[in-house]
Amino acid sequence: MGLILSAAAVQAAQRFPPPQFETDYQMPTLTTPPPRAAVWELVDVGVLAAALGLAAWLIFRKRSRHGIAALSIFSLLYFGFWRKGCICSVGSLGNVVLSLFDSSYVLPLTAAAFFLLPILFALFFGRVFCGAVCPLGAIQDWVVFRPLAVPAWLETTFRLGAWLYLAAAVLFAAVGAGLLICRYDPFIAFFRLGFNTPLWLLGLLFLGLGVFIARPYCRFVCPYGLLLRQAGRLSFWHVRITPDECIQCRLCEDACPFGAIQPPTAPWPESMRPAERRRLVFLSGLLLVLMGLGGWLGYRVHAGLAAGHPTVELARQVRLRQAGLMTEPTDTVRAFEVSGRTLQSLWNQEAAVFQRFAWGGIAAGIFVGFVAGVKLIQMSIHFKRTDYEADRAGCLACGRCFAFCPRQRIWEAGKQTGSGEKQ
Amino acid sequence: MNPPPSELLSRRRFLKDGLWTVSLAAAGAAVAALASRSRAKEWVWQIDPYKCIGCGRCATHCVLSESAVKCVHAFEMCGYCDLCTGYFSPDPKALQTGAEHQLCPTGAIRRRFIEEPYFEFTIDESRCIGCGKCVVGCAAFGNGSLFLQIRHDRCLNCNECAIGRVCPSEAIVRVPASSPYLLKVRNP
Amino acid sequence: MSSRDESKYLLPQNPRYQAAVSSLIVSAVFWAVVGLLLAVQFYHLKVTDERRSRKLEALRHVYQTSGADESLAEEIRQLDVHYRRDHLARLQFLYRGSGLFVLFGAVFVGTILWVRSFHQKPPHPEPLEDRTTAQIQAARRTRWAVSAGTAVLASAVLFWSFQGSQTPQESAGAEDSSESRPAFASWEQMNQNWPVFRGPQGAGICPFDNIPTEWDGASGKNIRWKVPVELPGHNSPVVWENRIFLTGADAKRQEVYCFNAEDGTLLWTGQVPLAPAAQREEMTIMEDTGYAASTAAVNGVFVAAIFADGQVGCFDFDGRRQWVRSLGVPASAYGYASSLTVYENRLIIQFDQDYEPGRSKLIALDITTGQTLWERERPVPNSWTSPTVVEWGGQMQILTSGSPWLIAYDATDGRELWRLDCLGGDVAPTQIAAAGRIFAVHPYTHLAAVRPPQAPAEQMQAELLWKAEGSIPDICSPVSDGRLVWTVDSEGVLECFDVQDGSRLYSQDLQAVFQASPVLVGDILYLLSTKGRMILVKAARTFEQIGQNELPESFTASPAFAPGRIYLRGSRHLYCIENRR
Repeated sequence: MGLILSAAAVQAAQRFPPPQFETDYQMPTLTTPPPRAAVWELVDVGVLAAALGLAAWLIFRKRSRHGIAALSIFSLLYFGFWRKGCICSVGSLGNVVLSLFDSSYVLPLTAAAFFLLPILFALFFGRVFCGAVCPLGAIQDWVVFRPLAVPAWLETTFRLGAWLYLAAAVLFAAVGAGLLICRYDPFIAFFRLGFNTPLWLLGLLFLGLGVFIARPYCRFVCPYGLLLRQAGRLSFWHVRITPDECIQCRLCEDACPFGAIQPPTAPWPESMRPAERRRLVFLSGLLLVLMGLGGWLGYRVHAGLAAGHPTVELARQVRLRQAGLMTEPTDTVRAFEVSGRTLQSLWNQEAAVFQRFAWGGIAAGIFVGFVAGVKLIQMSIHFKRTDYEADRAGCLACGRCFAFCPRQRIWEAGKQTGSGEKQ
Repeated sequence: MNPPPSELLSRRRFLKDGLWTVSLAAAGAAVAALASRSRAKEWVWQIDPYKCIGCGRCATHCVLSESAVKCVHAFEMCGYCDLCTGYFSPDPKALQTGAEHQLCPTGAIRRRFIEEPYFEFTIDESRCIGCGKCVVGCAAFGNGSLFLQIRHDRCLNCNECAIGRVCPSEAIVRVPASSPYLLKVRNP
Repeated sequence: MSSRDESKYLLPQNPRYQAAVSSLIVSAVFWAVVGLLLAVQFYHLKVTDERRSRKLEALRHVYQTSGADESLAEEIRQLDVHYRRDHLARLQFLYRGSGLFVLFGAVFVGTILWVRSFHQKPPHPEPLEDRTTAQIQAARRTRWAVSAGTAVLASAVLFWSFQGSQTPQESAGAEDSSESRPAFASWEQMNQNWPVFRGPQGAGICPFDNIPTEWDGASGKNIRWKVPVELPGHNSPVVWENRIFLTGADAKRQEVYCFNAEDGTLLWTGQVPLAPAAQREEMTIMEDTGYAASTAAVNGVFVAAIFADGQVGCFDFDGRRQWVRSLGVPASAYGYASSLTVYENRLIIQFDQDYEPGRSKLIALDITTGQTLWERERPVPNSWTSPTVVEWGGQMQILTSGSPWLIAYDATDGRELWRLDCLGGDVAPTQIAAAGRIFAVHPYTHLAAVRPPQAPAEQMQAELLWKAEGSIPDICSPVSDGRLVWTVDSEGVLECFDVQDGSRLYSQDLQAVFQASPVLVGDILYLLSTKGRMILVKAARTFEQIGQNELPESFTASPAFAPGRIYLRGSRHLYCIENRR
């Protein structure tokens, strides 16, 4: 019977009958304060949509850096400090993936809206979300004091890390091992004013780095930003440095702290054509090789990655306990022992997790290999530019470059007299 | 051999427009898919009291410095014992309210005499840190009427619950916001 | 050029610039001070308060173990108040302080921007280099950098994979050879056998084809084999693939039998020891229940049986006894008769007893070890129904009938999911689930149709849809095809109700006595009378008897089925009935 007692550790039997009061004692009732009313979630979506619309209007019609800056303060205050960084579009990526793979999790409408709205806007206007609405971007945008120019080759290479992070975040969300993006949100400690030391340090690190390398999280980490980059490439309208025409004055050349201004191209020498064609063929082959390599590596590391899954960790501890290597059971093992779950069911679950990680690891590896291969191919295809232009993928729609363009001054002056403006 | 630049440009243009349309269609499809599942609900975190083992991590791992988890008391389950093992430290010298006899590290449980032989125990939530010591005490020798719950007037409803990540019994689960508590009830 | 030098030269004298710089310094100092204070308090919160609470804990321990020392008690009280006040003040400070920290951070950033506004450098493009060379170089450099980055990344991942933890297969294999054998068959396999009383999910529905409709005991027509069963018992056979299990007992012995389904040979006999004699004296044994009324349960790996004295035994398929548990002799007015059921490794026992609620329980034993996984008190007196495990909206539920409660439990952890007051009397017919409803029987009084709450069940109420009155059975369980539900009482009145509204469609006296529960095979009801007559009735809205077959023995056990076969347990023999080619 001792076994039964210990098995019932917290799930106690009801040992004592309900009291029979003789006085007119009234039992208090248990209060259950409700969560935040659902209508506020809709308000959040409304604010997001309004902020996105306003950002697009400010950047395309008003061409106002000040307006964007003011809006970014508002977003920082509202989505950051007021809403404590939850819900945010960056993190909603995890919710979307989770809902795709876990049928018991129905995606809340707010999460869906936070995920989709910025992408929709990016398809029309470019990354206006990054410029003025994202609280993570806004907090970094205010410490861009001494931006160093990061050479394009370094920037492109470092962005591979973000792709890897995206693959890992999607993998972890898909197998139910957690939402990495939310877990390692660097500024969440500021927003919540909580005392999580590692996260405070991470946030300060990113802000400190951000003084010299503008918006490091957005450029080299943010997985959601990668989605917006692709949408930005396709976007219907693009942010233009000049309101009307580029006069090739080169004054905006160093205006962008994010290195997103691209100079006009010179014609590529005709003599290079055959070599380039051969290279393209080679790189297309390499793309396949990289995808294969990525899949293989993904499979190789899947067991290591799976160690981050709670079920696998539980199984590891239970195995230690079974082997007599754990004399005092951890809370996890204790919880397992009183839960009445069988060892077999745990092994089955663990095996299932490993299997999911194996397939997920392969898929994630192939994906990262694909990205690396496509990057190489991209570098071998030449786009023709005649003007100084904002890089469609990299432009964060902050509006800093406007002030550098002499045409902007003329346009601003002309606006008072009512002459035309351009989209 | 090489297509004229204008043709190249228009081909690229065509490709881009195609991709744009596809992306927009995908986004539209996503919106439609969501609209069709319009029963989509909001989720909040809650502790399943029947899984909880009272390990005490709720007190230390919440992103809030004073945890959103508090002990609650299902009065209908309570035995109103004089010797409450959720209130007193094991083998108390005397059944008195002094700090030296109490299990609760913050003295958040109030003990009040009702009538012979019954005492009422209420939780002062402003003091409770959600450590679960009383929960374990009550379950070990009592009716298990004290248990931990996430209080939704405090919970920030993080996308990934920081306590849930470290909960040894995976007792922190998503529940619909329409029924945000998992309360214990007396088995008559 | 000259303007920049000029501005540099002039700046220090610009009072606005001086103001900006001094406010920058002031805000930086403030910010740093707040940060420092925060760090100090944070250190105290994490280290000092932790130490203090340990100290207090230790003092309390000293107080509890030593004699009642009033001065120590007083010290504990004072320290407790003191420490707690400090801690709360610190929390308050930290909370406000981090707000201030962020605020001063913002001010600091603002002043930096202000100072910077004096330092604005006009754009200064470098002389233009050769664009063609530059862009060729840039593309090449990026290609190489990306290649190098990919290589570095890949080798880092590869390196890590060699460092990484071993896969579970490697580590598990050696240690857990005993665990590698599964402890139970899958739910799907359970539904393709006849593992518990009344078959899959206890529904009394035969999922198999080619079930014989004609046989005759006298001529031996379609009787594949017939073997004697040594000890009597009212329990029904359960079947797993080619094994048939049943139990028998008398005042001296309690046994579990395993028969070969092909030829009826007895493969093994397992013994379950009796409860202590002193306890057995209190047993009520009536002819209608006997010593072995409870049907055994099989989960594909193990078979378990319970007897009237509360003894539970478990065997593997080769007859090796795994364990025995003594639950104590249940106090039951007509003798204990509830059958076992099983879900994965959980052996579920509805242990209802006494004339008053209080000692009744639902117990789950680990079928591999016999240890109690959980038990739940049940607010009902003795009953003679059996628990059934059904799948409801993805959740496995245990259904139980008692007086007056129909209660559903989570099959995994035994948590009560819902209950409904709809029963009464000495409940013996077992509830069935069909068409999204549950049908439960209040003997002689009514048939109740209940809609269980949709998941999550914890928060919602079951709903009583209707109650139908008539010749409501006292022993036999109902059966339903999802549109109609039939009951047969022990006097032989077969009644048919519409599942939608409970309207009675017909009531037919079959001129026989019934104790076995009916089974639905395709669209034919199989009703086995105590005299050995199997009456076949069309499962339709009107009564139509389509056949009857006789066996020369008395029958109280419900029939069991396998593909193409019927197994019937008579008072002395076990029969296998199969269509002969």
